Amino acid sequence: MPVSINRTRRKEKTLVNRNLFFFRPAKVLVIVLLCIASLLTGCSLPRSVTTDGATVEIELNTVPFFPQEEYQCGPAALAALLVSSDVVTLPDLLSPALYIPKRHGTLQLEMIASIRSFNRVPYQLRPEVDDIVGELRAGRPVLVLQNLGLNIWPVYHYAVVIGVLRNGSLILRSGTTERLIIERDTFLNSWEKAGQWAMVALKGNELPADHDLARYLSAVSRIEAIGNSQLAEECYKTVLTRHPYNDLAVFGLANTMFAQANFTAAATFYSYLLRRDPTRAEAANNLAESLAALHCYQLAIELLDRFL
Amino acid sequence: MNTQLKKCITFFVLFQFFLISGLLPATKAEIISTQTFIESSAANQTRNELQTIIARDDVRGELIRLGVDPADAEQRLARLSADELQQLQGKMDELPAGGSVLALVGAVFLVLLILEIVGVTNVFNKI
Repeated sequence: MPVSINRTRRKEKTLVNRNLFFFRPAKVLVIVLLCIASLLTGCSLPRSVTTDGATVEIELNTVPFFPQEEYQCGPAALAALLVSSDVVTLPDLLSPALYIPKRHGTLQLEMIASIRSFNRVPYQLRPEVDDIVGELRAGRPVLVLQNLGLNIWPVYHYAVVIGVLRNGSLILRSGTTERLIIERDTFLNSWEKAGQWAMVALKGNELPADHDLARYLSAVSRIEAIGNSQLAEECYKTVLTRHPYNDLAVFGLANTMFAQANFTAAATFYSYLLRRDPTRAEAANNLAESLAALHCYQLAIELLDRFL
Repeated sequence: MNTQLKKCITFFVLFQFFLISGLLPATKAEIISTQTFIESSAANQTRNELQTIIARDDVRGELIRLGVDPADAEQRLARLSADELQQLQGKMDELPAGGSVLALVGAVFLVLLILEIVGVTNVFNKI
């Protein structure tokens, strides 16, 4: 009898020991961390709302979703934006021109350059959420940069805004979450920490929803500078069909004509600008260049003499 | 100084002169681009061209240093405008790079959790 009692006591003791081992603080910490890690799937924010509390005001359902692979939220977000603008592409195709291995990410300027390389106008919105909503109303998703970390410890992340709820919350394609609903304040916080950067891809025949022509023409002038005269020409014409007296667009159109060796058309537009404002030295200079290209050297020299 | 040395020096000076004059953009009559017109810096066009050449070399070096394939780097440079190259120059390590959130948020979370356990913060009491 005493022997058997001893045995059961020993068994209890080992059980107790095992329980103690199982609940050792270090192991508890590991389990808690694992649970948290499993909750942190992809780029979902712990604070974001995941249920539909309010009715949807706008949601662009047709924006494709490319779940991001490791560090590749730039190419994934950009692919969603471009495909929505009728470009045929995939994140993997964009990645070699976007990703910087040692930075584990993608720079904003390279996102802009990539949009241009697909014959679209990269247009940076004014730093207002209303402008993001305005673009959504026009049927265009908006690429945004967020800082999900702290100001001193930034964690930058690209996402695509595809909709807005009546209560102001935004709907995002983000990381590995196809439909992330994020409260307006939470979004604003992360967006402001990343410099309120929002970008759309416009086709040549589209104007931005905010109709900020100076901003738009500045973006188009970069397209011209890169050497894509055809797209720049289409953009200037888009502006001129709606704002026929925009002199900057006429000047730009003339420059794209010159770049495509259509010197007669270029000269016509430059002289039109000179007639409107005879003191415009840029128009005179470029008109003289066009005349020289047409071998009218005498006219060109006479024109320049008036300015020298 | 013997004549051979003189010849040698003359040759190298001339060689460098031609090399540099070939590299430097010549000031010439040319079309004023819309971008220049907007930024109204026509007088600085030549100086800008020179700065762009330097910026392009710097950014190329930086891209390759940061692990980008040299062939890809060349294509990526060709897509950037002059002012963009100058914005990137020397800032490749500081400018925001959007990437993965999982790993980094995890790290931030871990630090916050440790701070919480130690008792420095009480972020999680509010959740």
